[in-house]
This record gives sequence, structure tokens and C-alpha cells, in this order.
Amino acid sequence: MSDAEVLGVLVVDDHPMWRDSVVRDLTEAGLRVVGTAEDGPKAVRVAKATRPNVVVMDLQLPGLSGVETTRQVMEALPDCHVLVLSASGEPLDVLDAVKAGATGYLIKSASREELIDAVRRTAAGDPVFTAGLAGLVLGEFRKISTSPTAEADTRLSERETEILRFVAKGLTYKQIAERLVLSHRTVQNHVQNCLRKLQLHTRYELVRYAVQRGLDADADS
Amino acid sequence: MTTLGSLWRALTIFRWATLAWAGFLIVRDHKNFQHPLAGLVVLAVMAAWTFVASVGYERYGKRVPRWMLGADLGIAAAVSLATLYVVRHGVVLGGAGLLPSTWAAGAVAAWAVAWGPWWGIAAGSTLGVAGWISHGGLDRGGLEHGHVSQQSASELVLFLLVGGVVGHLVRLARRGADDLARAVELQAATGERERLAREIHDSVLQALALIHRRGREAGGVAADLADLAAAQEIELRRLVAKAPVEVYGADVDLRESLRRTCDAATVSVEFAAPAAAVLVPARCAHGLAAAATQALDNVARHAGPKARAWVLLDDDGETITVSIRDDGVGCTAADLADAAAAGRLGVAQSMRGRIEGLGGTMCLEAMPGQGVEVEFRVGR
Repeated sequence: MSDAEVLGVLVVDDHPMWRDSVVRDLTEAGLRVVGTAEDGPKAVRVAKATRPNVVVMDLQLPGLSGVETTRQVMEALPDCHVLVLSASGEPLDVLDAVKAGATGYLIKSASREELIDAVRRTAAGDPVFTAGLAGLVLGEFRKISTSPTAEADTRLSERETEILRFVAKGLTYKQIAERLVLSHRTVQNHVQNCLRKLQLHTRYELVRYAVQRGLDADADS
Repeated sequence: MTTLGSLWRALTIFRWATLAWAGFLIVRDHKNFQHPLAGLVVLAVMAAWTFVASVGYERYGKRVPRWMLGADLGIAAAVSLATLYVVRHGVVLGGAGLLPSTWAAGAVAAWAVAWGPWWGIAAGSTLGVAGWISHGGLDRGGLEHGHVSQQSASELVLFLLVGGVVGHLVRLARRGADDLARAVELQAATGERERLAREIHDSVLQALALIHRRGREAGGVAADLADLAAAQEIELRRLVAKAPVEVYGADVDLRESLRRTCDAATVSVEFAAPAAAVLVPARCAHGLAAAATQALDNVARHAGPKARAWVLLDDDGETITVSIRDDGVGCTAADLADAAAAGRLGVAQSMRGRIEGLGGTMCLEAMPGQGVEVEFRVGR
């Protein structure tokens, strides 16, 4: 099966020139662009209607933030993968998008080959990382590990921490696999687990927050 | 209401309260005055001026005209001296007071508020002298001279106190208000900067990124334009990035120190750090940043032209780790030993010295073809 039959891509960006350019690159590479959207609410609607495999998402969107759009798309389509394609000036937004379920991040100055490679890898469930993003994720886990309320299943194992640190130091999965004498696939799985735990922790936090608010509201009434 | 506005308002309340007290005493005792009617006229003048001052000071606010402050003090002194004519042989305020009693202090406070402590003290002295003259000229029927001068002396001290203390406090309050205004201004400027940054981010940076990408793909002259666009993009991004906020004497954010180090490096560096500030003593931040600068210089010098570098800041709550890795040509253990033997490990030793000076450790890992990694570890 070729990509054209399998991979449907939705491109979300409010900048028409940029959006067209990404669509053209993807189409030329043989990927199927199932839709485009210039704002958050439309992105969620189109995603529900077209069920893409990958959403290429800008984070600076009118109407609904890219982070919130990511959250809603992931809620509606849990099997979908979100690749954040964003300028490098907004690392915290990228971290929030990852917490909301995005599994890939590429900066906008990346080349066409890098973009197409990233879309394919994201579609395959492979986390697409930059060292900077890995540093942010590592920082979140450092915070989680010192938090008394964190659940045990959201803490990283020593191996996962080690691998995340390697990613944050710019090593590729292949280089990490060589250093630790592991298979490429195992390294990928560890990185996927890191992301999954971070998303799980975020959900726990949201629930805890909601419960607390609920209790406070009860106490007030 | 502004600080100054509320000060004038407080002074107005003080004037009316003291006017009521002085009025009460004058009305109660005026039958014993040598010129009872004149006493009531003086009271009317005090009331009229209190009204003018209440309206005037609050309306002029910052720019009270000189004539007004002059008239304020002049009238207070005149009312004080008028005691000589009005009372003469009579007795007010339980035997020792002057016609305006505490009302006169309003003028002293006004001078202090408008012009500061020294002018407040000057106004206080003027009224003190006027009071001394009035007391001295009164025939108090049996009161001793010593008692009179003691009375004027304590009034003088009170006037000086009012002038000096009010003036000083006003100066402090104004300074506080100025600081607050500056802080608000700074906040507004920061907000505007962030808004601009967002806009530039949404439009110009996107366009530059696109030119960069398309141009590079097109090759030739377009590739040169692409490089130019890329350079401008980096420059612009740095410009709109948040200005560092330095807090004097307090801990500094190590992320900011290292980010500046990475920006200044001549090799291409990717910097990875946590989302939250990593606060360390300024000495520690400077030491780590300086050592990281040396490590990146080393990468530029020895790792080959295509080398890239990664800097990772990791803080596990007990230890701060800064790693600088490159993907350059690397070296063998034998190379390192040779360099050490030839005394060419100056840079490594200097870095180690810095880090050990901070109570930390440094380790260096190198493999041929796999670049070099330097790691600094400093305890919290």
C-alpha cells in the first residue's frame, strides 16, 4: 500500500500562503491532503468529517488555540496523530500541545524533506521530537517526580529518563539504540511511553483540579 | 485619587477640624476680649481662607501657585499677631493660647507638602516667631514671663515638627508613587512588546521562514536570499524575545544565562531546558555560563566545520546538570593524553577549575567520529 491510499492529512494554519505551500509539498510527495482549516473550530469539524491520519497543526490560530484544538481533535479521534508545525518562538505552547496529545513537533524552518519525513513518522506512531522539546518534557517529569501527589504510573523509569536525556542532547533514536545496545523500536517505545505518561499526568491533574473545584463549589453552596 | 490629591484632601479635613476648635474657643471667650467684634471678624477671615484653601489646593494639585502658599502662611501669621490687638488683656484657651490655636499648622503642612521638609521647617519657624511675638505682647494678668516663653517654645517645636515630618513623609510617598508609576509604565511597555512579538510572529516571521525554505529549494541566487531571510528571521526572533528580567541580589534564572551563551556561540546550537525557571545564585549562573561558553568555543575550534552542538540544562531538584554535546570529529583517549602531555588541555582545566570553584564536578567524554560531550554537575 502506498501513502496515497493510507495517509490522509489535514493541514491547519491561518496563514494562507504557508498553508498552500505545505499542501503542495505534501501532495507532491504523494500524500493525500483530505482538508485544510484556517481556524480551530473549523479544524475540529473537518477532522471529525474527514478522519485524517495526521493533523499538521499550527499553534497560533484564531478562534481556538492550537493547544485546545489539539485536545478536541484527540478527544474526537483518539487514533489520529497530531504533528505540531510551529515557529520556534513558542516552546511552552508546544509543551502544552504535547500534553494535550500531540506526538510530533517540527519547526517551520525545516526543509520539505524533513516535513514529509515527519508526517510519515508521526502517522506511524513514531514520536517526532526536537532536543528542545525533549528538554521541556524532561523538565516536566523532574517536577512530577518531586510532587507528592503524582501517581506512580506517571513517573519515568530510569531507562526512560536516560533515553529522554539523550534525545534532549540531540542524539537520534539510532544513535541512542547503538549506545544502549537496544533495538531502534525499543528506543521509540520508551519515548512513546514518556509522552503517554505525560499526557496521563496531565489528565490526572485536570481531574484533580476539577474535583477540587467541585468540592469547593459544594462547600460554597 | 493620586497620592498628592489625597494629601491635600487630608489637609482640608485637618483645616476644617482645627477651624471648628478655634471657632469654638473664640466664640466661647470673645466676651472677655478687648475687641470682641474684631475677634469674630478674625474668625470669619479664618473660615473664608479655609474655604479658599480647601478648593484651591485640591484644584491646583501639583502646581499650587506661590501666591497661594504665601497667602496661606501670611494669613496664619497675621491671625496669630491679631491676637495682640483683639485679646490684649483678656485670656483665651485656658489662659495661654493664641487666636488661631492649632489652625495655623495647616499652613505649615501645606508648605511641607508642596515644597518639601526644608520649606516646611521655614514656614514653621515663621509661625513660631509670630507666636513668640504675640505671646510676649499679651498681658496675661499675673502669668509669669517664663511660662509665656515656654509656651511659645513648645509651639515652635510643634510647628517645626509638622513642617519637617510632613515634608519628609510626603517626599517618601512621592518617591513611592513615582516608582509605582514607573512599574506600571514598564508593565505596559512589556505588554506592548509581547503584542508586537505576537504580531511579528504571526506575519513577518512566517513569511521569512517561507522565503528561507522555498529559496533554499530553488538554489542559486535564491539560496543566497534564503540565507539572508534565515539570518533576519533569527535576528528578529531574538529581538522580539522577552527581555531578561534581572532582580538585584536575588537568584538568577540559569536558563536565561545559558540561552544568551548559546545565542552568542559561533556554532549552531540547540538549547534544551525545562519550562520553569531554574533559579540559582548569580555566582553559580555566571560560572556555569562562562564554562559553557568555553565548551562551545572549543566545539567551534576543534569539532570541524559541520559540527552542531546541543546544550541541555537538567535540574532534578538536587543536582543541576549542564551538558554540552557536539557531533563533530571527536577524539580518542590517546589524543587527549597527548594533548595533556603537550600542555594543551588549558581550556579543559580552566573549565574544570570554574566548576570545582562552584563545588561541582566536570566530566568529559569523547569518541572518535562521535563528537565530544562535556558535563558540568553542580549540587543545589
